[in-house]
Amino acid sequence: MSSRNNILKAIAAARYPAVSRQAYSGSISEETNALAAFVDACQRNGSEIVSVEDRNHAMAYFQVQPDTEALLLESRLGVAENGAIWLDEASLPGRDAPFACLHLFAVLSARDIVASMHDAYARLQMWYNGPDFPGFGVFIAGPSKTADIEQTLVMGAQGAKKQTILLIST
Amino acid sequence: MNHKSHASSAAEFLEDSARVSWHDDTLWWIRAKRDKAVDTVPDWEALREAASEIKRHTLSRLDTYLMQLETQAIQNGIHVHWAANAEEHNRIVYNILSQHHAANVVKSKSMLTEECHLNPYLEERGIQVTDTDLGEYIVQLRHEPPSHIVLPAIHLKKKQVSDTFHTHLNTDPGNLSPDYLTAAARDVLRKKFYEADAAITGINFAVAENGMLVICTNEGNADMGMHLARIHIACMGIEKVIPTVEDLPVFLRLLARSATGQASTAYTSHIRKPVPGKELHLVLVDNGRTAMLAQPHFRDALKCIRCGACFNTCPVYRRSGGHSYHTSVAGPIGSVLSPGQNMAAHGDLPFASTLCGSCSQVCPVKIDLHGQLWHRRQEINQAGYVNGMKKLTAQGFAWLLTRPRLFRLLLNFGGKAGRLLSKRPFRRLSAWTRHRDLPSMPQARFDSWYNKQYEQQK
Amino acid sequence: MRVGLFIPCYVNLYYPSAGIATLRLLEKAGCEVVFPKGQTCCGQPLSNAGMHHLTGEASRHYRELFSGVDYIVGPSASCCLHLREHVFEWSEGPQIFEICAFLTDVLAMSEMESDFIGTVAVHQGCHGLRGMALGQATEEAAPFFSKPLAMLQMIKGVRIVETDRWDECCGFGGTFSVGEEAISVRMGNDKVQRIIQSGAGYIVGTDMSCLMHLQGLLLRQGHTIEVKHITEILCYES
Repeated sequence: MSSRNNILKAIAAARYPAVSRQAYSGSISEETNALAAFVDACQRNGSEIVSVEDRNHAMAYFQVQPDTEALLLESRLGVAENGAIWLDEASLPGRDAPFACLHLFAVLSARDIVASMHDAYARLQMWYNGPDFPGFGVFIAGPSKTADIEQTLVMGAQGAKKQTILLIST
Repeated sequence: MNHKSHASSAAEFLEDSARVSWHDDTLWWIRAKRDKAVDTVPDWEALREAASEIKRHTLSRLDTYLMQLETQAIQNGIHVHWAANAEEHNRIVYNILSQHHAANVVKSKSMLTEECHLNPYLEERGIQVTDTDLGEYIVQLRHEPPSHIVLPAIHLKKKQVSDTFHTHLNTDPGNLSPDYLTAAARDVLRKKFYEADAAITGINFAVAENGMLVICTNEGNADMGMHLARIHIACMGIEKVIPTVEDLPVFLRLLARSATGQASTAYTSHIRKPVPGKELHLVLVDNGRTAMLAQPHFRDALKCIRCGACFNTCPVYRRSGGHSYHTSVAGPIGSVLSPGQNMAAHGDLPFASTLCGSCSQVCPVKIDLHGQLWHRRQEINQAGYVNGMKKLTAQGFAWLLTRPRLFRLLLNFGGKAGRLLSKRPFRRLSAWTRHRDLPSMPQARFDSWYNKQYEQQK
Repeated sequence: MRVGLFIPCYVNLYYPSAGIATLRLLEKAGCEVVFPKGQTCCGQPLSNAGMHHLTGEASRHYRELFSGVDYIVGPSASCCLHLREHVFEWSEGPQIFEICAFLTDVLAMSEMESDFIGTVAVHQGCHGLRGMALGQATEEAAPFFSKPLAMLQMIKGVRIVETDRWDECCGFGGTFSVGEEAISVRMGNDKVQRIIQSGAGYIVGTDMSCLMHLQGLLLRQGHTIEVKHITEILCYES
């Protein structure tokens, strides 16, 4: 415990007047067409988008898809500015599942797309009663990717190689 | 100093002109992608300001937030450790591993563990550590340090990667396809993930109010590691704490855009509690950070979120490569941080800059990087890390500055000597004239002209 | 308004024409210009080399030389920045301006009489661009502006060409140019190549120090592109 005390003591010794805490004051973007922006962002992050009518349709689509080691999950939150979807522990068969599978399918309703990450966290805080987040949650923006070899983009570095968003557009 | 100076390593790097052009153009291209990504955010400058202020606030009450983080993390079932320095950090990690008889460890990117030289420490004690970020895996196989904090293998061409993989992974010789090579590494690393006893990861942000750790990767390697292994050890510098969940989007919107021009990394993982039956350890490391906090000129450098934007924009970094910085963190931010840890070894780095200021303006958390480099230079000289001759010359020069007549005399002399040095046989004698001529002397200096025109008329 | 003309040492020695042009511009605009005698070097090379502690006397010397003027104006953004930050330390006293900023911000000039005809590439030195805010560089998300460019655009005969990576440092960097010789030369050569590609006949800038570095490379390599301080263009008489 001595290092703990020494570190805290060193910080206390370096104490200077507190810098006041300021709330983020920039404009939280009011994306007029969040759906279009989401689709656009997915294109950039390597996700495929398939429009479906409802959850049943999504299930049917998933059942006939040819890839092995495919996984179907449901997300309740998508972010327009980066095409990310939120998945939490409750919606996962295991924490490793969305990474270990080869092809991740996620059902998302267009209604659940928010404009920015600020909006997304506001919604998460609403769900989780403020800061009481689950044990694990993740924003996923497209398949696993790397550009570590001469900056050439390759999908499927260590995680899923493909990602398909089954978008319920009504 | 048991390594070459930045200037001489840079000169070596520059010998392969085509390679330098590639390195420079590639990183500039990433900077250009960053610019494009920035353009899509209407309030970019407000975001930078907000991020900077959140960090400044947090640093000014760092002890409070660290204690809050600790309390929350413990409530979440996380084991919290504190390390004063690199050695203690390494020992803590090793002890956890050895208690669990962990022999195979997978590690995702963590600049902190690079800074602490954790890998050799563990390997000397019989633990096999595999770096799982593809770039880090490549440089690990080659026994090289990463040359960039976000793009560890940016100094390598695919031919070199192919050769390395052929040697170590038995891939087809001469197959240079990045798809093929990435797939080969993936196969090997998948096995490693499933065999690993423990996973070590870095941390991008630790949220004090709920003890939640946020880790960003593009490859998903941190997640593969930490979700599959029984033990997860997350290591973070104490400056990585942020107060609340609400602060996260401010940083997340800035981070990937600044780093690679992506709107987000592929994975932004939030770990708050270990899975029942598994262990999660958090190691909070000082290693010079509290000392930096006590230095008003340098504490702002602790705002850094390790995006690497200052590397990509730095005209010196792009042309000298990361290894010329002989530190775990290169580029402008490394040149600010490293001398704080070891001035004797890294005192040359703050001089590896033209103070052009591009780093300060690209920085998503508004660190006055070039201002800090300037202050580092002062500190290094004050501490006596400057050779006697240079010091004497400087003192002489300073003395001349209040003696105009003598100064002008020597100015003229210098001008003439400079012309001589520009002539062929003498060029090699000065670092200016080896590749550059000095201008010819005009008929009269400005002050002489002015005297003639103005003073004599009166 | 009393303007103190600040002539950096290397301008005094190598580029008096830039000093003369600056003086002419100020006089033409009706300023009362004084040229304090006894100017040496402002001490920037020492400060930037980490020996700011040796510059106390020099700074006092410069503060005394320029006491009693309203403005200090000079043909070098970099040296002016040093005066502002490290000699006067943002204190009350004379306001310090690089000549282009003085012409646009204080004198609000909207036209320039110049007979200059030529194709120019503008090199906006970093200390001017970012340090003295003579323009907006590309890192920040802010609208573009450039005071030197605005001045040059007032001249009919000037054709401005765009250069790739226009706001990248040329590699001069004061003592950096010799301490990190290899990188400095490479940065300079890269800059020179991009300017050659732009088709410019002249490189025009706010800092002769950057231009001295580029000129050194051009001369050595036998290129015919000329370097000129922006003031020489702004008051050119054929």
